[in-house]
Amino acid sequence: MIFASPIFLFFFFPITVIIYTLIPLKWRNALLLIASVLFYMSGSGPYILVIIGLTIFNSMISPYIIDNRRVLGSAIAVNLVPLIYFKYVGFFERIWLDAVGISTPKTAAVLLPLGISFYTFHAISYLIDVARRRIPVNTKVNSYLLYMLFFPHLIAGPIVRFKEISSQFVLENRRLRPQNVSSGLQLFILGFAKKILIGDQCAAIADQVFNQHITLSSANAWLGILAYTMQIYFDFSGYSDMASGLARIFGFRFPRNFRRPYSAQSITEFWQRWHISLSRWFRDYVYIPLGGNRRGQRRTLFNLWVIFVLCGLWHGANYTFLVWGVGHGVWMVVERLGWWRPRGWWGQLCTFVITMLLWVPFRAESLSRTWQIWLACIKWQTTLVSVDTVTLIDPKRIFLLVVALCICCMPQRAFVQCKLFWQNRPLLRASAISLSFALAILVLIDQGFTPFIYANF
Amino acid sequence: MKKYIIGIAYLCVTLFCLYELQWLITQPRQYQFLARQLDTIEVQIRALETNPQGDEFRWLSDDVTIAVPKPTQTGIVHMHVWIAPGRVTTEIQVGNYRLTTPLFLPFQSRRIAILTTPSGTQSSLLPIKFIFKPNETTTPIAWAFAGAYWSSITAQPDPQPQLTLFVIITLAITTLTLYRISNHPLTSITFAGIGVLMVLVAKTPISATIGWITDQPALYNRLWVLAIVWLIWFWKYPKGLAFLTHAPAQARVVFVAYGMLTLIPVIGMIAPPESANIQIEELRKLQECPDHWTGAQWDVAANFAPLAQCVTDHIGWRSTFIRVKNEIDYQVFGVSSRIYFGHNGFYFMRRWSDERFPWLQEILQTPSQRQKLLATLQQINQNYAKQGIHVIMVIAPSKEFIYPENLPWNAPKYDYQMVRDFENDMEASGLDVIHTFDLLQSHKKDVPLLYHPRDFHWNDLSAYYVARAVTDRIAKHQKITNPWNHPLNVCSMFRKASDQSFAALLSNRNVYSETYCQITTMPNNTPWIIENRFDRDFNVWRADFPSPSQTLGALEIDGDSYSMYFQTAGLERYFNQVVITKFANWHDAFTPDHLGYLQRGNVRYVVWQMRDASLPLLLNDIYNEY
Repeated sequence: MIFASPIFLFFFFPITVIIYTLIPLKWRNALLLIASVLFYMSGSGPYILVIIGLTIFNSMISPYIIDNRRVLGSAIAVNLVPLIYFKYVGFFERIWLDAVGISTPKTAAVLLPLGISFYTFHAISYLIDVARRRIPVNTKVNSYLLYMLFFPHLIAGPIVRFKEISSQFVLENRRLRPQNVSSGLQLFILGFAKKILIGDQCAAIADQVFNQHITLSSANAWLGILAYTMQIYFDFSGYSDMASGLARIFGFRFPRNFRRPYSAQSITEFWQRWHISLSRWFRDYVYIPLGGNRRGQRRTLFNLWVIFVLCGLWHGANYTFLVWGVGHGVWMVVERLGWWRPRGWWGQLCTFVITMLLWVPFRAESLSRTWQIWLACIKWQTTLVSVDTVTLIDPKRIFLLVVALCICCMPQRAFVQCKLFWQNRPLLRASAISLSFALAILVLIDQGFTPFIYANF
Repeated sequence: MKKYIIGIAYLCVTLFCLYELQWLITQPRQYQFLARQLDTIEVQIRALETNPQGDEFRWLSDDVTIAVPKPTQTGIVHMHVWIAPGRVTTEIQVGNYRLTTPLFLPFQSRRIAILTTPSGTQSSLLPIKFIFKPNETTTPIAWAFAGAYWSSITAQPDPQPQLTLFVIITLAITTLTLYRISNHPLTSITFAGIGVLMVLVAKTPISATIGWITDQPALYNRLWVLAIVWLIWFWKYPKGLAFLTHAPAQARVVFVAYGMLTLIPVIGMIAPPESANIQIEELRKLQECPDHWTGAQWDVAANFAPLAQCVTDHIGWRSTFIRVKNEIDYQVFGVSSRIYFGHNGFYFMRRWSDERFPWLQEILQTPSQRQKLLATLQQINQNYAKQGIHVIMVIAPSKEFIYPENLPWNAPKYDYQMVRDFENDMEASGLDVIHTFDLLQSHKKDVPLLYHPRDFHWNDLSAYYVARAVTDRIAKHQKITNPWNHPLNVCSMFRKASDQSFAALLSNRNVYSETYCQITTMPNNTPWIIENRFDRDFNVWRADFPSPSQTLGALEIDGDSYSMYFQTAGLERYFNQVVITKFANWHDAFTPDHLGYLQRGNVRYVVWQMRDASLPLLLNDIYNEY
């Protein structure tokens, strides 16, 4: 079940909220737990046992990992086993085949459990925080189970730390307040509208270019990349907004996951604004333990590069994600060395273009397709436009693409003014959000929904 | 006191609005004539029955003539009827005229549209009777009548002032509601302003925009209930729900919007509105709701997926939501996600232009793929040749290639030369090909239209020319000269356009009539029999012609929905049997079942008809989508 599906919007979510408001306070966490289990089982069925098994294991082992690196290492390894088995075994076989040329005995294709990359990171962050005494050992299994399974962040984040929401498991801190419900609902609707009204419309252009049935002229390639750049932002940030909105309705507060990433003036800054909860996780649990920037420049650069290779692989077990991660890692190194330091609008433009080009391997099915699209981008003289370019420049989609571009790239001052305008007019904002919800519902029912991109990871 | 005055005023406005709505409901129904009104007929064989869809109908014997009210203006009388099993009819007697009808399938609900011109007085009646072939069954049941209603096609008497008033009142009520909830005049006025602006800039008149409502009496019954519930809730909610009372104004706006927008589809799903008249053609089968658990007990996800898809496909008011969305797209951007709005009233399906033609072009431009496609066609040819059957390949061009001048600016324009070159390759490799594109191009100026403007199919005229070419080709193989000797008679008819349901605009009426030409060449009104209708693999339409003027043997046409148009092309004059078959998969043509069929009928020639847009599917073993 995904947030943008009619069964969630019209049945699962309203029914959960209604029951949540009607039952006594003490049963509310139990309800959320049951709802989360149902939510997960609807998408991944028996794989719920993996996550429950990990949760029980972590609860049992957590008292023994404090100041004991060996046990901690073993516990982390156990947590990584399902991730490696489900996500990377096939990839390792492929690497082996490509490197040595000898095929391994074929393992049966396994279905990737939903959200495995996210809940594994949740689990590891909990273990490390306990081991480092940042949080006390949690004696209530149901709180920890709810932390792991809580449906708003279960499938695609944001990656929340136990410390950040542990106090919110106390029911007295989560009384139902109209303001919370209202702001949560508004955030949820905003995310839904971002996904359906803009993300999915841009996807229609991007899919035509990345799926191979359209001529790869320069115009088509650039338009496709631009559309995908907008699609992935509005899709993923829309999802994050929906998740945060849902959590807020139930009285939880999630950390922010995006801060206008396409307004960044460097790749370094981009990563401070894009998928913040993931960047933070890698920083705190990989980069700093590797030595961070305290062991000289070479080691710092190496650490940075390693982080991005891992980040690429975390997104998907494929060479294309590796190229995407390495690309970002290399560019971070270049910036750290001071070889590339544009600032202001020029910096923003360059960063935007680099990010766009690096989304190509992220989206393309193969490295050869990536290469074709990159080549098409630079071959201006030969095939600028083709007969099918007109199918991409559908007036409605182009309008929405331009709107998306304006939202993402408008100067910070204008953005702040715009934000203030809406903040000072809550009724107008509420009306506009309601209108956007109505439009999104219409589009959803007409065109259906596409899965969130990050739900595949 | 002020509170009560406002309350009474508010109630008055609401009631007035509902009155207007009621007027709209009853206005078109005055022309309706339902099965239950057949009580005056003496010969009635069964009482009123109800089918699972809730339609009332009455079974009648073949000698019954019913009379529906005859309108005084030019319009169309739409009748809903069924033909009983075992009965065959191809004619209907309307007044003094005998009209040829399309083939009726047993138990299939059909709508007959009869064009009527002004004459007589309002009280005059239109006698209608089916002409059946001699009784083949002992049952007296011949046909069932559900209802008839009339719609105007000229001088539309839409009550423009009332409709405008209706829209204004709706806007006023919504604005008031918004004001009541938010207590913020600027928001309400802005909303109202946007509404007025939308009405003013609307491309189609308001009457057309809400014309769809008139098709759905059941909708209004529910609207009444909804309106009353809404009224009670709205009047009482501050006292009833403390949570909402304490919520700030903006929160109330969001709660109401979310509540309404989620509640309406759910209510619509539980108590579905009458949807028979507003079906939208989606060229796919909607997901049926699962009624039992499949697979292992723990396999929740596999069982949940069809349930989720079922909810998506059957959500309440789905058709209405889709139409509203498409209307907004059309009004604001002039586009549709389903079709291209072309010139001269032409609609072009986006699926072909955006997906299929680029795919076709890619295949034909990639040597390996092109070779594979050619090899597949050769394989088909050889498989038939093994049975001693000669194949004639007909690739039907899409109307985008025959009428490119009607494509809008934002539709891609592909060159058909790619397919013509491929046809040359086919010919060079020994296949027998009819160059359909050249054939139709040469006759484009001879006749008014070769394709339906608002449907993706060709029309009877295209089928006529292609049938003539096929017949001449077969005659040539049999060394018979100039066999095709019957003239082309065309007449203007009205038909229901299917692209209306593809476009799915709010302003579209489901029964849209467009002029087209139908050939009248069937001298004996030979019926087409469906032999294998419910078979999963293929459907067969067969016609036996006992006395053709010049026999060329039996002919099999394997094709898609285009090949159905061959039924009226006049093939009965030259072949003693014609079989039209639709396969889902091309391999099915060579299953023992079908080959046995061909051998029994002594078929020596097969026309292998495909659309250009379907050629890529052959590589995935698919022959026919629809």
